[in-house]
Amino acid sequence: MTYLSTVDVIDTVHAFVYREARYADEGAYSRWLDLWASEDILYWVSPREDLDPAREVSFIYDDRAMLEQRVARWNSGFAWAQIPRSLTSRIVGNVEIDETSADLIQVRANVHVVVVRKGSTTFLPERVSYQLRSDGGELRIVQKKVVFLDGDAPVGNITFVL
Amino acid sequence: MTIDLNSLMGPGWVDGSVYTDEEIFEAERIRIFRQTWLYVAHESEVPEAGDYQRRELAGEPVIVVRDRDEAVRVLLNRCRHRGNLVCQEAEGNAQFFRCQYHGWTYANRGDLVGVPYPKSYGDDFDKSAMGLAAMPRVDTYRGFIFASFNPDVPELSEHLGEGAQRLIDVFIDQSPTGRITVRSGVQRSEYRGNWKFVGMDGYHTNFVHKSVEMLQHADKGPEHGDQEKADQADMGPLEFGKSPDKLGNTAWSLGRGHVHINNSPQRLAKSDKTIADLTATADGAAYLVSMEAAYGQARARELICAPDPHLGLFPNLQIIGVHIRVIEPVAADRTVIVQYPALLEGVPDEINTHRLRKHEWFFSPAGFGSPDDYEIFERNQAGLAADVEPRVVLTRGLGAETTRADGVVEGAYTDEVPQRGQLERWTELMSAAGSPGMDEAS
Repeated sequence: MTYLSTVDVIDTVHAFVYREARYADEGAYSRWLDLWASEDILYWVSPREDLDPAREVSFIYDDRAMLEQRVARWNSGFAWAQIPRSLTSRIVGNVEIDETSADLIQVRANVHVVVVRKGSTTFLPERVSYQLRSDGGELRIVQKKVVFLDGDAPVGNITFVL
Repeated sequence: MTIDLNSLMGPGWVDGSVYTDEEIFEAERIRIFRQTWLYVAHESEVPEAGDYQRRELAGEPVIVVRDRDEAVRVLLNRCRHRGNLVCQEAEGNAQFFRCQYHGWTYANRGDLVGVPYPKSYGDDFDKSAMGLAAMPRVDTYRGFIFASFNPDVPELSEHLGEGAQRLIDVFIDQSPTGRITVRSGVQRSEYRGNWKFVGMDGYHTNFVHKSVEMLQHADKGPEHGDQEKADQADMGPLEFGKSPDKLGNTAWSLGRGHVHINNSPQRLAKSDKTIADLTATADGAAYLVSMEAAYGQARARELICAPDPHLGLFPNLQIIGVHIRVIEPVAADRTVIVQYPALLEGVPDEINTHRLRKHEWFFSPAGFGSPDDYEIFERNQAGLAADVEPRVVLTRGLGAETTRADGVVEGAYTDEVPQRGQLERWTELMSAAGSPGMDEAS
């Protein structure tokens, strides 16, 4: 890989993960869903890095069909836990590209989510890893794994985009 | 403190302060949580000698430990010296618990076995009287460990009663070996509302869980989404949106505050489809074969097609779907809900993985169901602040219940039979005199 193409990849990946964060902050659920690949995806929110999803419980373990239902629920007007919506401001930092191959780019980042709802402000620190794929020149999310820093602590309302 | 219970309730109503008043909450900690049986853990969480789990029982930090003689004990996590925590980890295996403040050391059965520089305590210092305080009563039903701070509490079997035991059986007998393991992680949610909102309510489903009804009925119109996609996401088998009373479902009060909403009629009506869906995969077919071998065809199919105990055991346990749910009251207006999904022994891995995915879908803190319950509880707490007209009305189906030969009071699914049953037990415990003491570990 040449120096210039490396810079291009880094710029493209940064722009992509920032855009994902912005759609999440804006509550633009359908546009957020469009960032995902059309099939064989995994949206996984786990209390721990080394959890075995076949034997242990996660916060979220969505395939494409379930993720679409999740977005439909957000858009329905009947998801009371998001009425009013959790307002979020997230900082995506320490973005690193771990590995690129012909089809997949592995990315990891630290994400600090500040959440404001019904007069209280909470803070949710996450480690996030992505598998991104270029579909027709556009990056798409194949897998997003979110790990909570303190997954055993009681959580309040976490029914927004994690 | 004197609480005039008579002024707080009448037939089918209760004063909102029962959910908001801090003095009443403090009285509940003593009169309810220190008086009756509390669920503490499942035996599969402490399988070997020395295994322990930390737990909170209405604010009391305890250690559930299988001691060196394999007896399960529930010890207060509090050094007898100055009250420091003696156990820091959420779980583990230990022969001893050592207080890091001044080095006092306890064997895992609670005995004080080491005090550094003991001479200054004088010759009459009696280590045998200074073990970790233990809950004086510990008993189990099919691996469910209950304990009580009250040495005079009635036997656990009497407390549970036949009805509750049969529903616990439904939960465990999903396994062809009759054994479950509770080692699949923990989900803790906190909401700003009273612990008693976690009731057993057949009336709320189609309103609080309106979003799920909307997703399940995509065939009703484009605003409901895409039916094919909804089917792919496997959001069943309990169908929302229908009138539960017309489906034959009922609500039960089992006595001693234990309650049940019985959705088996609705589920059993779809038995053929449930069995067809199950046997469409090799793992599902193998599971059915092993269940029929263990329980006989009729019972096995009933267990598989109506698997949800939906049981509330007053005051701190619910068994719903595939999970054990523990209620940890924090304050009058703050509660932590702890969920432990259970896996089945003796089944193909896919069966257990499917249980976890279905649990996450609805009950996870990020799921499609429970977070809306917690949101509604928070709104309820906020609404009760308007106490000019303080009554909460629980008259639905009052007078229409039937008392069965087995003592169970049964009403329509949406009737407030469980709410009245819990309130009756609450009143009974809150009215009892005295606050029970504690035994030494021995």
